[in-house]
Amino acid sequence: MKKLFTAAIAALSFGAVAGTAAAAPCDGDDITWIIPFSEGGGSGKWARFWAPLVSEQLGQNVIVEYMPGAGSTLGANYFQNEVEGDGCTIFGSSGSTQFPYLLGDDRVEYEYRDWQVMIATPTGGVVYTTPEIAAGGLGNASMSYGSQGATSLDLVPLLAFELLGYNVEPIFGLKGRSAGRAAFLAGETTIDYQTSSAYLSNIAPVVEAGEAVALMSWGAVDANGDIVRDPTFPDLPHFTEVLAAANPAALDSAAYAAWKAFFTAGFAAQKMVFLPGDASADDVATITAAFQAATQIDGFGEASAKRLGVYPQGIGDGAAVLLEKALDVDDTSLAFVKGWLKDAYGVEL
Amino acid sequence: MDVLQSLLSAFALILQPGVLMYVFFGVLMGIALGILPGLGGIAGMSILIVVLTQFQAEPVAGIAMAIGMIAVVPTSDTFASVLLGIPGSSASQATVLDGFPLAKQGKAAQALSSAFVSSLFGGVLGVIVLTVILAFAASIIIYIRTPAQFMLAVFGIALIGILSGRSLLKGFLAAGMGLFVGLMGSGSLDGFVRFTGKEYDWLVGLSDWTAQFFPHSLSAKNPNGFIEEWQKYLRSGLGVAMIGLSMFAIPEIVDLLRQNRSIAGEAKLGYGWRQGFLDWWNNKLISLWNAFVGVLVGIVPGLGGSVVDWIAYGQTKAIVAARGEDVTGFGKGDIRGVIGPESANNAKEGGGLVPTLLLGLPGSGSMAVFLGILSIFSIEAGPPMFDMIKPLDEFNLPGSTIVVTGMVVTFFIAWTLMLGNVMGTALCFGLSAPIARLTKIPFPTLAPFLLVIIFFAVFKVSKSASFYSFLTLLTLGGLGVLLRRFKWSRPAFLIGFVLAAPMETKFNWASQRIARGNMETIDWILMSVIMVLIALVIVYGVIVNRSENRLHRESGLTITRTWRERLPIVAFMVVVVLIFAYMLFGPVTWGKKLYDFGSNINDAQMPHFLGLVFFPLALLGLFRVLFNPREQELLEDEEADARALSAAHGQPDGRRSLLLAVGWIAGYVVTIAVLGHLIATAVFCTALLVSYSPLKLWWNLMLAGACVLLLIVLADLVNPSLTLGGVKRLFGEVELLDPVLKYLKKPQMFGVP
Repeated sequence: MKKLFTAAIAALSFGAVAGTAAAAPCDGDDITWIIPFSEGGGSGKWARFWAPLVSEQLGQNVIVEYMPGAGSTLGANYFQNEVEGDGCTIFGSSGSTQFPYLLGDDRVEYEYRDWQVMIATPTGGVVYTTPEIAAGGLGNASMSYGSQGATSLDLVPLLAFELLGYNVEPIFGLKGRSAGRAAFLAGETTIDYQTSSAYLSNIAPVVEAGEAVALMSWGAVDANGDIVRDPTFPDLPHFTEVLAAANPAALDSAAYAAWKAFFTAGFAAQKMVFLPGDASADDVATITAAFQAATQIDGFGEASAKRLGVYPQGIGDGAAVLLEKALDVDDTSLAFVKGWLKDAYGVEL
Repeated sequence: MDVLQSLLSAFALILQPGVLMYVFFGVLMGIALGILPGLGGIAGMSILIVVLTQFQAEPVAGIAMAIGMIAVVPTSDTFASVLLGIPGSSASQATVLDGFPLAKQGKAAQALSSAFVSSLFGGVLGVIVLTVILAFAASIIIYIRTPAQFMLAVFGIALIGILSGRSLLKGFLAAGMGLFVGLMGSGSLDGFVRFTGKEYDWLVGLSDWTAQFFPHSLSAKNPNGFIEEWQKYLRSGLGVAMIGLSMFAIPEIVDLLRQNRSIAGEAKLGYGWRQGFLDWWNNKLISLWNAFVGVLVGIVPGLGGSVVDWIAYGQTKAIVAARGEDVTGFGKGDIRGVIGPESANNAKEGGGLVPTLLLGLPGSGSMAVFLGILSIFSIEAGPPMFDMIKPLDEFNLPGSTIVVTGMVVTFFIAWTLMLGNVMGTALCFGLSAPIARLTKIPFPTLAPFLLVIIFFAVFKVSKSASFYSFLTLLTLGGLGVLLRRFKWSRPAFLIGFVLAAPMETKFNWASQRIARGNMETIDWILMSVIMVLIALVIVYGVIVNRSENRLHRESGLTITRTWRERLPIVAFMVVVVLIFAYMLFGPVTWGKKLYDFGSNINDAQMPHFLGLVFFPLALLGLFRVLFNPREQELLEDEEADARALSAAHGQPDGRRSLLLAVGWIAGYVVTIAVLGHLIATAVFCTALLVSYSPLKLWWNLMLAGACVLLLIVLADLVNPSLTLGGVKRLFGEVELLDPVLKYLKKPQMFGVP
């Protein structure tokens, strides 16, 4: 009996040692999570939501590091060029990282297909404006919109405004959507949108106070690839509904097809977490499992609905499916958007 | 929520135990910075930035620590001024004049006691004025929008250029170089990379050529030469902590490394604690007047830090003389000469926060770094800080029910400054005996520890922690050494750096609005008003400067410098001209439309326009140092002055050469490149301690060990990824030291989870 006990202890402790030695990414040291945006935006909020949960599951620290610049291509290039596959660094991309890649922007040195995706989070967005403009009718108003640049995720709202026939002047050169929000709140712009997590925490209180009016969400993509109401904002009409009411013919246009393609690419897998291509399969599995386990914690659903919105998280294989959606934009839409960027904003790609 | 409610909420916020602890921590760090030579408030806050970002501190905690530090440095720096006769920081130079003689008479305690009470009084008065101004500004600030904000940034640069010294040209060019470094890296409009030299193919050629000597690249995946890698590093731009450390820590440390004198005599406190307080009470009007002077000097952007104590000293003497009392005791130990400057130098921080929080215009170097700290928490100075509607939940401590808005954060800063002053004074009184002993630590013994901390800080603060942070620190630190030598304003450089980004984004924004006819009347009015102000300030500055210079020339104090003596400054001026030539002509080669606004606005425009302003100024400067040997201000050169002085006294300078001191730091960088961070630190610290430290050999060796341990602890506390690249290259893939390091780095070693 005693012998058996000793053997069990030995097996247990040996197993524990072997387990930690093989499974811990980065040998159990802190993992750095690069977010290619500043702290105040939706990506920052998203990463700060996940980091403590995943840290707990892994038993090692996950530290968020912000690396904003050049519409997020700076951080993505850094991840591509400098980061080793030792499991010490993971990367959180966003729709703004995807678009320059899809459009062949010359700042892009990264290649999505080199990386290994672990989780993908869909998100939505809400468009809002000032009470004065909402009361006076959007068709008559002359509005301004603070933008990161036409080739960023802002391509979606800018194209949407054009389809709706809104008279919106973009003002370029902002560093992230948080700066766009600040400009709106300072009264410098009159229409703006925020992705779901940033909208929930920063704009919803302002809308409640009557200082801003929510106009529409972008909608969400269902399993058939159709656009439906955003589950986080079921009471708000989505863009396609608004467009159908205002100008049903526009739904058949090349412009709308392009909008839908880019919206799906940008929002269906808006935020993803990657390891570099040369990271070991063990590390990928361990970190993916930690994300998966985090979603099983009591109260996860409630907390994530409050802070990120109600969206199904794609984890592991689910993430791979969403990544394919994000990288899949048909050539017609691509050609249309390139032509439109050139005509409307003089952007040569 | 109204202003009063915000003020009360802010007070409730500060009373939370966690916040009190953070302020206390900041105050302790500030005391250490004030006492120890080599690092001042600016370097300290730069290091704090690293601490805050690495530990993902809550915004409230970060602000509390930073303000606690700002509050106490002008109090604790008095120790060094009084006990050693060395200014503990630039704001207490005047305190030395009477404080040190008092200490020599055995009355150090009396001087310190008066100084602390005056500091507290001035500090609290500064906060009261700050709070009143903030409360009244809340209702008008919302009209200051982007076009006016751009003009304000220009106004700030103009003021700094004019007020930072006797030579307008030097002030402007220093600020201009700060702007140049601030614009370096990716632009915000189309992400174009500026000023890294990437448009010059020969640099890449040179880089490839060097690659054959360093076959193993310092970066993991891209085996390019080091210049190309360095350019990549610079793409993401530099942070304020890097600038703060290279401008304010490296030059001071270089200077102290040159000092060859033995330890200052016994630092005895003596007697007079009670007497010091009574002295302050008897001179409370002098204290009150100088506190107001301090606030005013603080409010004017650009005057800032280093002149406030001299102005106050002059005022004090004037008041005493006006009363018909004896002024002959000044400079020999008159307690009023301590009370005046010390009342003013704490008060200036409250004043300095006025333009910083209200307009985003930092008036001094430490305020510039403070703006940097605000920006890591995504707070923008100006209107958002006066918002009373939008709750900022991330600014609250977890579980707290206080509603925090921008206005509450602003008042929180004011309350923290008050608390920091009170805590700081109490600690300085309470800990005076141990602190007095600390001032006796010989600097060469301390130097390696400071350098290890600074190097580690710049390594971790850069966005892509890499060896190139050391090269950048060395380069900019070298520039800082030159600015110090030729007496160019380093705060102007730092403020220019901090203002570069807002100036550019506001310019881009405003010009798009103007091109689209998207401006309101109030925007135009404010823009015009500030433009007129800028013009007035420049005209006034030039007139005053000319008359001052004429007076100076007529006083017959001018020295004519020989060619040989002018050579260093001429060489430096040539470099300055080259920098601004790049600023002006570089953008022309970037293939962008330079004079087309509206939708064609791009990342080349702001750099080009600044080049248009600064290049002619630099040429003028070069012209004047070349052809006007009697040009006093431009030809200032600390080295030449020191040589002239020692020649006049017929004794050698006694300091080690400047090149040698810079060489030590360069040597550290090169050693890191070859041996990796850890081994290089062991080698460097041992060499420096054994060569310079006056202690016994075995003590020095033990301290060198402590240095290495410090690095390991820092690495372990923060994020264990030192550049081991060098080691790997030397020993191939046999990472010799890795097992040792892995063991040492295990978190449980230091009880850190």
